Amino acid sequence: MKLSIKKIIILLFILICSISTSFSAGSFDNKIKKISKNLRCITCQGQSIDASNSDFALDVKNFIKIKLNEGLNEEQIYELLKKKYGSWIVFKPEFKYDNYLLWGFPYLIFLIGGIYIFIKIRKKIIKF
Amino acid sequence: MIKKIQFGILFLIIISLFYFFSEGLKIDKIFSPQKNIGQKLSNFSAPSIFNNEIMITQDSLKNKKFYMINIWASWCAPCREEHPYLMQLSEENLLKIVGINYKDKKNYAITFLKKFGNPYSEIGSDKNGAISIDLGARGIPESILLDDQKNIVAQFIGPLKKNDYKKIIKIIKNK
Repeated sequence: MKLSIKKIIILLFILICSISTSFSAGSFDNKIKKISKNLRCITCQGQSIDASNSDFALDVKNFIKIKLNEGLNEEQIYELLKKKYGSWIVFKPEFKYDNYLLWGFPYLIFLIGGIYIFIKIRKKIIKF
Repeated sequence: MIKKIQFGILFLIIISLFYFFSEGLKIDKIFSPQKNIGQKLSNFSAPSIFNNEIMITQDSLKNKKFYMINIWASWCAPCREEHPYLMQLSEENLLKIVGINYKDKKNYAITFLKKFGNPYSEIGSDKNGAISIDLGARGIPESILLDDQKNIVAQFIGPLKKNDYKKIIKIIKNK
């Protein structure tokens, strides 16, 4: 009986260890996936680093893995890659003087639309 | 009258949007990333292909006024094409060439160097391509010319051609 309890404890220990290892490995892989999904491949343009199987994409994935192991966070990795390949490498463009229209246009339309609707509703209320 | 003005404004907005988007269609969508000229070389560390215990780093670039980092592999056909120019540059002794052997097997790399000559003072191994990304490479072959402060002076994407060779000599002799 004693021996069987020992065996159960050992089995439980192995089970817990394997689950925790797979969880940590999963989250690490997810981090690589998340970062590589937001990076653009320069050899197969239009595809993300995550979706591409080109040599460049594989190299970038390895680079991300190494930098995460070195303790760098997501933003620091983006900054490093932007420094080497330009801000184009990141799918989400950063706010700069040459792309203010891209960032500001939706808000401008929203504002104009809002003012238009406000005026229309106000007119209707006054008529009533 | 107000309706006419409203219609006119709407018409103008539609026309300007149409012009804006049609002009956008004409823009070249193939992007070529910026070269890193003027930037300082990133810190890198690669084990020597001859001895894993020796690390090739940015500190290996010393005692010369110019340095070149050349990323190459024995399986890469364009690397064979540019190799004579690297040999010429090394024979002229105007700069120090450090090789980064990209995703290659040690014995194949050594056979390549025995066959075509070794222009490199040191060769680091990049087994998984991460070092090349650290150096800002787009592919292989690629050559990065550096000054004594390790600033990138020129970057050659693809095999070195005769014009590139002349350009390198000109840069070195003009400084």
